[in-house]
Amino acid sequence: MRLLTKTTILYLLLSLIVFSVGGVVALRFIRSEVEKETDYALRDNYRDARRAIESGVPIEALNTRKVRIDSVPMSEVSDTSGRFSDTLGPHPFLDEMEPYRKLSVTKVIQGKAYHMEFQENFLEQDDSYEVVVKIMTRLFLLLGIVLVTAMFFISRYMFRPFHETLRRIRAFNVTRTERHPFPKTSTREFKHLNEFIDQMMQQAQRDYRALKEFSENASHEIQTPLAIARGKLEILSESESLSARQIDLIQTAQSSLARLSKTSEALLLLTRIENQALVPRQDTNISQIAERSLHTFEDLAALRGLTMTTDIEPGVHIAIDPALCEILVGNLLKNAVRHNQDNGWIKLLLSSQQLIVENTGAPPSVPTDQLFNRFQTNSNGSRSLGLGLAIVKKICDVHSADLQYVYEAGVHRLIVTF
Amino acid sequence: MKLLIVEDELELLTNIETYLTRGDVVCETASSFASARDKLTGFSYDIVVLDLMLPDGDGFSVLRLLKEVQPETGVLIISAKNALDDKIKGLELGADDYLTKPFHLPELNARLKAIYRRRKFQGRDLIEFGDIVIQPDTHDVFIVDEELPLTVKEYELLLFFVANKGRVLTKQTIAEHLWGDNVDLLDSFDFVYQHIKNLRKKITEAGAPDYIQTIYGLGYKFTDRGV
Repeated sequence: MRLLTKTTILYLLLSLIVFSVGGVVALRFIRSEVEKETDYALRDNYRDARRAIESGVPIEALNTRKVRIDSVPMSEVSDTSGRFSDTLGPHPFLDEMEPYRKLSVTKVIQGKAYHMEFQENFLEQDDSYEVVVKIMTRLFLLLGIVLVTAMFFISRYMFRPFHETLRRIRAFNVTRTERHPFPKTSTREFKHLNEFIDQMMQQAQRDYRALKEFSENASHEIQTPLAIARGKLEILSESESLSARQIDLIQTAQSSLARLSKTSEALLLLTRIENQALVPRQDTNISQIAERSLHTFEDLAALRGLTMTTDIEPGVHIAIDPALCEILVGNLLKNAVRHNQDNGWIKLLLSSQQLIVENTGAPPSVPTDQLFNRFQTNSNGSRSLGLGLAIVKKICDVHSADLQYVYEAGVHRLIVTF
Repeated sequence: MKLLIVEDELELLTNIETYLTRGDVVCETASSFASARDKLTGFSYDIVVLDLMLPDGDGFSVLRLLKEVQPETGVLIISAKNALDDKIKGLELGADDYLTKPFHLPELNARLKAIYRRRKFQGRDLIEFGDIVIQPDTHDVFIVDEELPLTVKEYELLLFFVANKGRVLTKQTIAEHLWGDNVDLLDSFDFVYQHIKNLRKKITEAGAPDYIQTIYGLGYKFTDRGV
């Protein structure tokens, strides 16, 4: 929900509460005001009647539908103050009762006692309620219309810089170096926001460049000493009369160096794929690459006694960097060869939608989706670095392809859906 | 074979120099762009081993200069950058081969020999070792005039052995030479052993002595001594 829609709804809800409370208060005010006015009128009537009796008008002439005056014996006069009360009386024309306000007074005038009752129509409860509700509803509707219209214009004009900022954030690419200054705005909050985001973007781009440089340098810095160490060991192994113990030491050191070198290369590749530095999309013939990869692994598979079957649809093109595509197919096949069993088989299927590599092998010791994690290896004690599938996964992610690992009845199946 | 090694890392330079200097191989060294330029303008070499990263200049400039003053000299680039762009650029500028650090010294040796052969004889000369005669342009191998049928890998293995004759080759080095980046696939180096066993069998069955000497725990040495 948009911010403005949310505020508007909240505002309207609050107004609804205010209007309801206001309605109740208004109703009270109106009632008490009307009561006061009615009581004044009743008192006036009483005063008029008294004056009329004092001037000798017979009480029969004063009696009307709303006034009743009776003479009473003096003995009944006890309280001479007036008493107001609410009552119901028949409507003059309609066949229904309506509320009246009544003033009853017993008074001694010129030595005679009178009992006087004055009635006055009183505002009907329903009527006053209806009026208040009607007023409040109209006001609320008016407010609603004004508010929604106002919000529409506010969002169009006041929030324009904000939407522009959003657009720029969405278009931001950390790998690019060019800068687009934000449009000027007079709203202080937006100005702060733009400044902050601009700084953050520059920082991100700087960090990205630093990271890229670091990756390149790290490669150089690690590989060079490795090359030196490896060379020293090779020269050492050339020397005559080495003991079996010395030979063993050299050999172990060599294989550790090899492993270190492979690991750093693979990590570098992962970083590069992550940074998308290597990813100019090209139309790549994956069928050709698959054929070539198969050829590379044929001989390794044969050495393990593995049977390879393929079903490659010719001329399948996908948008991927060719070097990455080669790594993708190569790693999948490598994985299939490595985690296979003696005299097992490998099947490679390629269609325009999917690349599937199936192989026989022992059941995975960890859940299959965890095998995409770095340094997660299935077989124990193998020479595997645990980075091959992580690289495959990363390449798939970068190219928004789907990667699935299914293990079923002794068959491992890796499915890449383009 | 006269080599110029251009490499700013002194230890690596010493390694290469120590390893390669043997028999008819003469190595000269340069550890900066300036000294490489001086040597290249003053003397001629068969092959230049060139590191792309130099403190005072880009390795590519050395390559351009070399192609100008000594176009007949071979170039092998060694670089820590496994970047495809660098590789392509280097080969386009006329380098013969590209090796990524860290490399095995026997691998460097074999590649240098291959460049030398291509440059000097256009690959048409015969490589002879004991009873073995290899015809590099046709990939044919003969033992005492009898053709030896070898698989592609066996041929590559034999060529690698002959290029590094008299040197110790570990299974790791051989495996990396034969399978490149996929070498980590080979659980143990039993596969290397398989290939070597087959090659040895073919050579000895053809009547030649067993040139492949096993050095227990370390690897193999191709030699006609002690046969």
